[in-house]
Amino acid sequence: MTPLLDIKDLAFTWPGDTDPVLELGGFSLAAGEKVFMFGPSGSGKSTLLALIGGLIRPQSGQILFKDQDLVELGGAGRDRVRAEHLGVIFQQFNLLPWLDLINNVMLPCRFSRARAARAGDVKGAAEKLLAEMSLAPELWRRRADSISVGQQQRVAAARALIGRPALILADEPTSALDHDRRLDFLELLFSQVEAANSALLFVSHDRDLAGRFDRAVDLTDLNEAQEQA
Amino acid sequence: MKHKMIHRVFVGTLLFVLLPLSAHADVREIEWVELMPEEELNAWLQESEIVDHSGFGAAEPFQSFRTMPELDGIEARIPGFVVPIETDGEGNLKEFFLVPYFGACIHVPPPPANQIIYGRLEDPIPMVNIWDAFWMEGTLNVEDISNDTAASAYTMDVTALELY
Amino acid sequence: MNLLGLAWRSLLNRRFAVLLTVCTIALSIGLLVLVEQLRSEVRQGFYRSVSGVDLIVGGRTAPVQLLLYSVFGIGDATNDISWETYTQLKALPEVDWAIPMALGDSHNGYRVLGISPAFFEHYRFGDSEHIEFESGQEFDDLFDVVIGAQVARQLDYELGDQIVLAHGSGNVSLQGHDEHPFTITGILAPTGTPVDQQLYVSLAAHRAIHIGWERGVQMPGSAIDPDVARTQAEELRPDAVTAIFLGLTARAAVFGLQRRVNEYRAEALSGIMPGITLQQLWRITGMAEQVLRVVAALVVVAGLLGMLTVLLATLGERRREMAILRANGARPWQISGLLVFEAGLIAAAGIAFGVALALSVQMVAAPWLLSEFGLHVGLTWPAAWQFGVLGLIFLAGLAVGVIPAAMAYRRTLADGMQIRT
Repeated sequence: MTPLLDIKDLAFTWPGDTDPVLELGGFSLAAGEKVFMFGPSGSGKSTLLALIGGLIRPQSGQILFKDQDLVELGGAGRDRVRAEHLGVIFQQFNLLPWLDLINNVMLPCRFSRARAARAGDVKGAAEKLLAEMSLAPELWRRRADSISVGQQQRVAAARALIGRPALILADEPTSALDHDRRLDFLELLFSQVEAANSALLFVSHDRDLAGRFDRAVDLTDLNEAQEQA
Repeated sequence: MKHKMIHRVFVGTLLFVLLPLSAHADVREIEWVELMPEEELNAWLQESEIVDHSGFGAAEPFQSFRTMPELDGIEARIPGFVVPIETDGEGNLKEFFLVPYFGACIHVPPPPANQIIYGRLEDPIPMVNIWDAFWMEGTLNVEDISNDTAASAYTMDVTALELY
Repeated sequence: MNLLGLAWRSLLNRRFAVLLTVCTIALSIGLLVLVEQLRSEVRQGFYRSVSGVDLIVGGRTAPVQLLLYSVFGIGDATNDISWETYTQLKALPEVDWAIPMALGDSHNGYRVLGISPAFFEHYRFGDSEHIEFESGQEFDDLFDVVIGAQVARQLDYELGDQIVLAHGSGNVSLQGHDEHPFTITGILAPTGTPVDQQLYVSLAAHRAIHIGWERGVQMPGSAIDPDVARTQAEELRPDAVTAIFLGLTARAAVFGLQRRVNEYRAEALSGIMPGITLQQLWRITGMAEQVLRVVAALVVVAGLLGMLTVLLATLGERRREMAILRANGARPWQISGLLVFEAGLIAAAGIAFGVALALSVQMVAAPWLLSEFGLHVGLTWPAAWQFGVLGLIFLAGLAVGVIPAAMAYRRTLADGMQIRT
């Protein structure tokens, strides 16, 4: 079975820098797999996620996603892939503060018709996800900046999941939450990821969480570029 | 066979394009001197020096009201300057004189009556600039005006007034 | 929601700054539209004021000045026309009718004209409309006065009221014709022209009240007794009139007649054709109008620059927003399109409010313009070509939005998943 995501010989240098920030020999992810990646700040994790997300292009290498090489695609193609097959959760400030929760969750479907088609009744799907994320209906019409950080992260998760994308990228989603809340968040996230049959790439420096995943990798081992640092 | 067809189409198109143009060509472009009988034109050229200023009683030394009857009813086009006479309630031009030259220059006598055309617009147009020259187009009429001194004068039902 | 909806929500979020920008643009557009509206309304008002008059004759004076004081009551005459000249002109074969007028008196700031009955019969305005009476009728008695619609309204006069005329044309009368009170016998229907602001008496009455004023000031005891004046009404006539409106039997004769009037040796006269002289007036005012237009255009530019400033200033704080949009599948052109839409919404709102502002100002100023200048300013939509200009300004607003949009485009491409500082 071909992997969902297959990265080979990736190298990326930010414009203006002399040394590459990322040099990855190989990394792959199967469909529906939940992978924990340990990556402290400075390890190149944000760069890796941006590359997988198709926001930036590597100087060399191959990023095969759903049998398409993102490196070969143009900017528009990568945008389309991202809109249709990817969900993203940041550490914080995930939501458009002036939109309500429902509209924030529906956002990805606005940019991909295929994704909206998969969701079916987009609004209904958004409401269901918010409910699954333990967000009470009274909150759904409130402005995104009027709820707590914990609630915001759960909304971000709901948004990433709408339309059942193939892959969810999470960049330190629990790092801004209280310790107790982290496990709750993870459980909610897992249940919905499994329900949607999505793969999950969860990057964090919090090794305590690693045990619950299918697989754990260490970016500092994978990234050859860091060895010079 | 094919050549004949193309030939027909070509001629047909040509006629289709040219016929309207020739209809437009029915509008005759006239000059101001055509509006004045020839004898008067010669008299005018000779008399332009003599002027009498004593009171209002003495009429202008040269007044020409005689018209050219053969011009009655023709579609004509003539260039000149506009002297606004009547406007509608909104300041649009309704009736005006068209005269051959502009300016109440003291040294030159005013135009005689058969060098003035009284134009009427059925649909008033926005007021025009009196300092610009215009092409006036329409049906030229020779009308009787009830007056001791005047016999008849030119008027026109104006269809177009375009900038020169 | 689509991009437009997002743009709207985004603006709503920053409504204070946005509202200020919209106000700036609205003020600038309002000024632009108002200048154009007033310009065309004033001109229309002037054209409406006189109709069917072929030649206006006055004592020798500048053409525009003659037009202004004879028709519009603006300014004063410096010369007048002797009665003999008037009778001669009236008798000419090419003259159909003549309306003489004697100026110089006023009542509470409104002009009083001594006229002949020819005025009520032949004076026309607007689209060849005749003078009509709202109530009452022309003069019967020597000391009868007919007043215009505005005079009746502002001073609250009715038929039968008695009024006293003042000498001179100032707003306040220091010297009145107190011995000769006048009775209002007629009130004219509104015309939307300076006629509404004027009072009309017969030429004989005008003469009667000025008997004893030969030295320029009322000589005590020299005024004529009103009843005596009435017996002499038939013979009373002024020595001079200020201006004469002429209607010709053959309109084409006006050119010759104008020349003869201007060259008349016996008296210094000026003859003008209203249509021509009005345009000479516009030439003078035209320069001021052009300056006003340029100023208004510059103010619009300032308004658009203000919008640009606001959009650029908020670009920095919206980087996060744009990264979120991008991460959720927005294409770069959609993100910059958002900014163009925002600029478009602000510009559209500014233009709409600006037009509304101009219309409201017109509505508010109309009564004042009417009472001060006799100028009837109608409430009309801007002309078609003005909407074209407004459309162009809207496009300019969109173009202004392209500048921050282009900057945003480049930045979102450069930013990765996190904002790179």
